[in-house]
Amino acid sequence: MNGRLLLLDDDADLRFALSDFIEMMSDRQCLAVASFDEMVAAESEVLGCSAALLDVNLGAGKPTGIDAYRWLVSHHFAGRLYFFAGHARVHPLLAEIEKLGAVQVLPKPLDTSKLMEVLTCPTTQASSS
Amino acid sequence: MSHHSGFELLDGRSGPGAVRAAKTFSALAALTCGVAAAALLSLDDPHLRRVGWGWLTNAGICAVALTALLLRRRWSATQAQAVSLMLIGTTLVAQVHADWISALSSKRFAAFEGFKAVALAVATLGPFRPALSYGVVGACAVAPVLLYEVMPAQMRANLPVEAPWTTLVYPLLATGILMYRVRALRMEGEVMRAHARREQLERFAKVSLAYRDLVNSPLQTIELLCAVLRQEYPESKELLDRLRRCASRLAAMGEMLSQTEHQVVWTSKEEAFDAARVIADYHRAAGC
Repeated sequence: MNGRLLLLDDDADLRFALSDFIEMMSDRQCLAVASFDEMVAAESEVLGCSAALLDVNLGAGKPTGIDAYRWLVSHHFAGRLYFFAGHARVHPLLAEIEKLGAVQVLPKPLDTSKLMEVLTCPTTQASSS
Repeated sequence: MSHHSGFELLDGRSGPGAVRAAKTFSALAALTCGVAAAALLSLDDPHLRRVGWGWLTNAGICAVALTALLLRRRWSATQAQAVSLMLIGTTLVAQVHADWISALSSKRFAAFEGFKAVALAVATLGPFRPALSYGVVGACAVAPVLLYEVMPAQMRANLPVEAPWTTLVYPLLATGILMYRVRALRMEGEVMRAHARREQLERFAKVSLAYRDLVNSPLQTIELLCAVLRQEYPESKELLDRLRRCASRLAAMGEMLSQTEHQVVWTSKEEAFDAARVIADYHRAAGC
């Protein structure tokens, strides 16, 4: 699996650790952004990524990972999409998206071997419909 | 537990319910006794006029009680029940007086009306706890019979032919209403307790979710950093394994908390929520 990986998470430590881990374990580059706005600002780089890992809760009152998902799909993001959810496995919207099979939800904290397994194995493709 | 339903407000066991029942009873008694007094005082029969004065006195007592109930804000359930009981007592005494004096008159009259009205009022207004309500209704059944029994034969002859036995129909009816009411209140109580338990569980589920939201990102960071450090510093493997095991135990605790997360009712505004605020609100509500 090649190409950059988009990381969207509001936790700076986690962004740093995840980038470090992925770059060390898979020789892939990461594009780490802290918010929806940062992601939109880096549109051309973002759309060039081959996969995206989106945190669901990006802070109270702020656009969510689900908003980011919708934005990516509406901009014909061609890579695979994953949600990284700290708490919201039962969120109705996530459950709905998961049911469609368009995106995989990874629960936090996820074992590193499982994380690598997911990020390196081809899975379902994000739908643009 | 807070109660909001109409049933609960009319339940004499609670302070507001008992006060409301006492107010309603005193208002109804003042009005009906006043009307009866006006009707009887306009007659030229001296016996019935005496009955009219009796009803007027009771109307006055009920009006004073109603005024006191309206003017004084803080009535406990016991105080309100005592007022209701006192008014029931004066009304029944006025009724005994009315029946006795009316029986001395040659005019036709409706006997034991107060007993019937009190039995139905107690059953529908529910000013007391069930045992006392049943007691008052029972007294309304027994008193007319006793009164009939102690009356001299010539006075009994002036009573309506069906008295006193048809009077028993009303306490029987009141007993049925009371039984229904007690059962309905018990069911409502069970529904409210279940609702409160569900609300409590939902609040707990939400605060668990908030704790997990705060803890899971740092746990994930530890997990990732352990993997990175293990790669870079293989000699620290043992220490890093210990650290990872500790993080795993904390993650397992989070999993335990997640058992309740399906209890959370999500609203569209809660796609992103402030975990710290949810926890603070929960503890504030719990009085911590």
